[in-house]
Amino acid sequence: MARQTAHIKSGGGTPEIEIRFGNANVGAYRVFLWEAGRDPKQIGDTAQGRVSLESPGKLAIARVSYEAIIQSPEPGVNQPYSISVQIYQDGRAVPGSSYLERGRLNPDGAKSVIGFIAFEVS
Amino acid sequence: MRTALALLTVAPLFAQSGIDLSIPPSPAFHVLGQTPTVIQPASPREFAVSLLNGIDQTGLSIDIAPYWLAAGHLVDREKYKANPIVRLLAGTQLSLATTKSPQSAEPSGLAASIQIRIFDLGDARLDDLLADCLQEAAQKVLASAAPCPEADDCRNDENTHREALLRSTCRQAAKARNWNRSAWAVGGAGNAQFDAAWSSLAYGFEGVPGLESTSQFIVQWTRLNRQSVGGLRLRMGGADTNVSADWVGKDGQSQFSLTAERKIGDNLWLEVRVGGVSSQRIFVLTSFHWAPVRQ
Repeated sequence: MARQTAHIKSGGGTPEIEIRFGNANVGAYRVFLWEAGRDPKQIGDTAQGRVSLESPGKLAIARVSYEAIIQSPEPGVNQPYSISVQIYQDGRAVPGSSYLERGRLNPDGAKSVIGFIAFEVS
Repeated sequence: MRTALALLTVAPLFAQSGIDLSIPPSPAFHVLGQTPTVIQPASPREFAVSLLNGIDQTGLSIDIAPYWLAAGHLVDREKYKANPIVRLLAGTQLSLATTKSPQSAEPSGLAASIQIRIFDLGDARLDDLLADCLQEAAQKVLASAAPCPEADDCRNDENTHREALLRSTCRQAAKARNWNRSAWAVGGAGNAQFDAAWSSLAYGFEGVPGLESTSQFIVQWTRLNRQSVGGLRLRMGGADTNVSADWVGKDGQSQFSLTAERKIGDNLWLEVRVGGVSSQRIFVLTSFHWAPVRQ
């Protein structure tokens, strides 16, 4: 389980999240915005290269979660996987937002990953 | 290496030759003549742990794909598809094997090997239909579940549940599509006393009507301790059931065989082989397994 705190600038643009799958695997994901007292809202999925989040002011009191599924096209056990998560603001990587997970897929060649990101606005 | 059950259907004059030209899964240990515990680390950390744990074992083989280990996280499927150098590097596997007697602290045998997949038109990572099928299955699983809240401890259970839902038939369908595609893999292994080399070149009749999905022609060559063995194989059928005609040349002798094999389990094949070798006019039934390496 991944939990990160991304440090974004209040005066910057709308942050974006990028989720990438290594080892030439096939991945799918969805991204949710969690605001206090509200139901989670899906704000993006695999169809988008980078998913735009909300304004820095809104993110300061919210969380973002991502839920991904990674599968190897190759059959067999011990297939490697990697998932990397990065948040960008104004085209630059945001400090504290990098996440890289590597390992092996399960014997069926799949891996589910769920992670959360909190935001610190300066 | 798959397990094959050979049915001896010919007279007692026949015996099994045991010639196998395929590239072994862990060539370095093959050179040492051992049945190893093979470790295949998926990350640099696992690699380091494997080395440390292996020190106390009597035999250890580490198979690593160096490029995958060092840079696999940087290679998404689009980069892999677009760049043949990336595919060549990703298909290169090194193997290091040691054995030692339980009484001695020093390694008694050390061998190294390399396998290189020069090209593979049946590479599952290049199969767009397979990728679409897997993607669709994953999206269905994601769509069927409510988002996991941060405060709840649902992540482990939910991850396990989602992974269990992904047992799709995508890969089986891809295997049926790609079983006979053209490919070329080479390998070499050696230690102080012994050396070996393998080459397996397969042609899948791509674009030839009637043969494209049913046939494969394989040219294989093996060199073990300065002795070369060459062979040809024509295989027809499908991924799980096929018949083949084989020829192997070694030391001026020719060996022929006809084989029918059917997959009857995950790693179990039923194989019926009839053949002969021209040596003092004695015909021999052979039993050897023959296939290009797939990683």
